Amino acid sequence: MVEIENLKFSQGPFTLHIDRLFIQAHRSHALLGPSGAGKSTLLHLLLGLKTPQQGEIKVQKNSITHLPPNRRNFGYVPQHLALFPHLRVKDNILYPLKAQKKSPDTAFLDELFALSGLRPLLERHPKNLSGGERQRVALIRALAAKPKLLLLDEPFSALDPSLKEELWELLQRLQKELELTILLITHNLQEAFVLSHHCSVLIDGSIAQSAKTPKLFYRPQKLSVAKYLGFNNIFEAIGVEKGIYLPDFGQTFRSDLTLPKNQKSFVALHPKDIEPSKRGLNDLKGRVEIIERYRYKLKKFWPNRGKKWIEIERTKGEWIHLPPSAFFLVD
Amino acid sequence: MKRAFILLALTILLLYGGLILSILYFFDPHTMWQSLTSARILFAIKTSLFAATLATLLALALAIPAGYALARYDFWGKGIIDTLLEFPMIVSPAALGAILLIFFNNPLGNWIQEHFVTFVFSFAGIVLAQFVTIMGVAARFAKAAFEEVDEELEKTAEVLGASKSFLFLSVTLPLAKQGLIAAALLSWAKALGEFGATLTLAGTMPFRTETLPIAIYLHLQMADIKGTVALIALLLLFGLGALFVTKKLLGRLEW
Repeated sequence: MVEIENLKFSQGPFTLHIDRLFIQAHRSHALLGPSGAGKSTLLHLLLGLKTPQQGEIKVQKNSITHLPPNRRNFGYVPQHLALFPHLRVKDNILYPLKAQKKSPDTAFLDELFALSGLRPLLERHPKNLSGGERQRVALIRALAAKPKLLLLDEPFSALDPSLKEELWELLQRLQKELELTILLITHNLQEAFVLSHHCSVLIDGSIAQSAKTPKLFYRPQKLSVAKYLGFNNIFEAIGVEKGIYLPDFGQTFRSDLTLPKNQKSFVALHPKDIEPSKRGLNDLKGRVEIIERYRYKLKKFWPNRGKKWIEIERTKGEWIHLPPSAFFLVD
Repeated sequence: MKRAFILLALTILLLYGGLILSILYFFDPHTMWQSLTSARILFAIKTSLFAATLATLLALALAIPAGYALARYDFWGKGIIDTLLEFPMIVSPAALGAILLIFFNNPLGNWIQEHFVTFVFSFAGIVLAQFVTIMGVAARFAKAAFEEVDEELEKTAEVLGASKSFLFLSVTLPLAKQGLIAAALLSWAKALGEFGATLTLAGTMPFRTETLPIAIYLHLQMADIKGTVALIALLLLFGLGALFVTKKLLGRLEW
């Protein structure tokens, strides 16, 4: 659907270089990344507000790299929503249709109003709307002209948690019912996890990893991505004959991953793959420290012989088991 | 500290308010009526209103696009233009008129007058003198009005399918409307009160180039204090009326 190939844009000391990024049709794709990674620059390139020095952006195999923003047929919800304050909700929503000289598809608009619950608000001005209502108007306005791609730039960042979850549900419903193709730009991991089918992580101006969302969150392949996603269980590993040696625990573990002998690398483990145990191979003895966090508990397992703690989910007694299949490489 | 500053601020009211009220001493309703019914004064009023309106319209026709360019784009010469907007304020009006008069005496100025419009000692000269005086103010206000419009709204409109002209007419202009109306009214009030440049370029010919401020000057020269006061009251009425409407439109009128 949307393909970005060898895209390059430099401004001052910063360079954005996207080798390849593919956004699948009728799916939701999240673009994650820390501040300053280049998310906004990539967004502006996609919108046509900036022109790349190199590379191409294609929509349905047609290049749009040099098309002006108004001819790309994209829906857009900016971070601060940018509702036109002088227009009523109805006129805000119809704006893309008027701008593109398209006649309104009444049945489609009715469907949008029904899904979003905006019908009672149509005659109001944006200043008379609540935060959540404004969000819904911006979302429906972006969809009114049936865009090929819906771009969302951190649209929920300023909302209360409960309202945020309500709008996530609305977006999921709209995506499913209307089979939308969405690119969600966010730095909120939970938002990306809940809302996207695919995820790409942008770090220092390039895509560090792109994968299906559950896979990316469960088993990131890059060290930078694992760190960005908040993985605590990242350890240095050295390849040995019977598995991997983790200097942090002074112990060799059997592992399904193959690491050449004496080669150093980093391995990671997802907390949910670590099992409680009684004592055996690949096991560690230690104590559990529970730290209360908002809506969850961080369980730190401190091995008796070790310099670092391991994040775990399940705990039973003083032993944990690190299954050979749980280790994965992050480089 | 606060009280002292407020007192100093009230001094401004005392100064300008006192000066305005002081003309009441010589105010004579009979003279006022005579002035309003005098053919010569009526001509001066009409000339003033017509010339100020025309000069304002011409200034806005240039100030709106120029103000937008100054507010939104980066281009060569932007800094110089931005500084030159204050040019009519730093040069005295008489000097501005003299510059115009000197220009129309050079070969290019002569050629313009021969082939297009005669500006020296004519109605066109009044309009030109007022236009040059208010152009900077109009562009400065227009620029400020466009700067008030959130650029994110324009970008969003463009991404949602609006061409540059459609977004200018449907988003930028309506949102800058109040500021632009204020620019128009203040420019008009300034044009109406313009004296020095008009006097130098267009002269003081009754029934030809006599405007309200020039009529005030001529009445004062003849030591006709009551007549002068009547004309000042008229000018104040128009000028303060325009300022009142401007402040009302900007929603900033408080007592």
